[in-house]
Amino acid sequence: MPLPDTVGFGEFPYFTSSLKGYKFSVLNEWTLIDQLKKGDESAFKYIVDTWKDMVYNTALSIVQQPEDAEDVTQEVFVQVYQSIEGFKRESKFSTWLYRITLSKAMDNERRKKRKKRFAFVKSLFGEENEAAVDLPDFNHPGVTLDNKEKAANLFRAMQALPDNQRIAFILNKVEGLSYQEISEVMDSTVSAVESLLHRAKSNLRKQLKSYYEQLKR
Amino acid sequence: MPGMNDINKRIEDTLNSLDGIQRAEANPFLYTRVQAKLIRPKGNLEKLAVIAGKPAFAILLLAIVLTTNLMVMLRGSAAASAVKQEQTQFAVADEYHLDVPALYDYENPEP
Repeated sequence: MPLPDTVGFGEFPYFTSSLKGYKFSVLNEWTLIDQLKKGDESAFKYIVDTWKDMVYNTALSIVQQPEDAEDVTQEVFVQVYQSIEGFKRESKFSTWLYRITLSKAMDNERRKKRKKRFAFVKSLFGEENEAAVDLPDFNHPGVTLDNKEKAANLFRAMQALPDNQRIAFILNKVEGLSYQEISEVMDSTVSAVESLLHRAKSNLRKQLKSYYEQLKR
Repeated sequence: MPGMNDINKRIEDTLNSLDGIQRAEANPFLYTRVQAKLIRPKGNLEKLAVIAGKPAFAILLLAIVLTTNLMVMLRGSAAASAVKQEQTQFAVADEYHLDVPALYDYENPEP
């Protein structure tokens, strides 16, 4: 279970000495967003510094490559800056941020799949192209040492899950969100999230079973 | 079966392997890179690619192509019908000698 981002009221920390130098003195979500809407650079820097690990961790768990995850993270904050006027406060800021992150990460995944398909079609026509290289297993840097190998197997199996199941599983297992929080991010109900997670685990068990049985042979 | 039990245990251990996972840390210079991306102006080609990539653009383009095709087809069928009508009129006029006499015929009547 990952550590919570902050302690204190709302989602942001009480004003601490490390934040001296920022113009604003009261840190609550709406004040920060109002500052950002006015183009306040320090408000934007605070948002980036506070939320970058959450965004990067979520993106990394989906794209499973640090370089791609960094690109996705940058795109997310660019979008936050450019679209903050469109944030209507119908949800929490973190919920909105998760949605943008998941959308950008899944777009990245679809682009990669299209490239693979295109490369495959080109190879059918005998066109010279780079040989398709199987990427090494993904090792999440936050996994405990004794779980590294098993976690790598799990992340590999996750790639075969349908998008919604994969997202729900990552938000629950990697980001530590509750079913309620996941339902808010996915704009769904708690029971739908329960069902998604149940199906995700069932599918993962099937994937892992065939993998481990193959290893035994 | 001991083999199956072993595999099932491995599966469950794998599913629980993310317990205690810590968040991966982003690049400490992320803010600088985001700023650079915000300042960098988009090229014309990039702007065009952004617009062309939107589904609304594709739907609009399709609608224009379909409308143009429909207009060409309708005009074509109207023109074809007008030509056919004119041909029928000529045929009838020819049959009943209803054609308009030429000036030559007025000036040079038959003896």
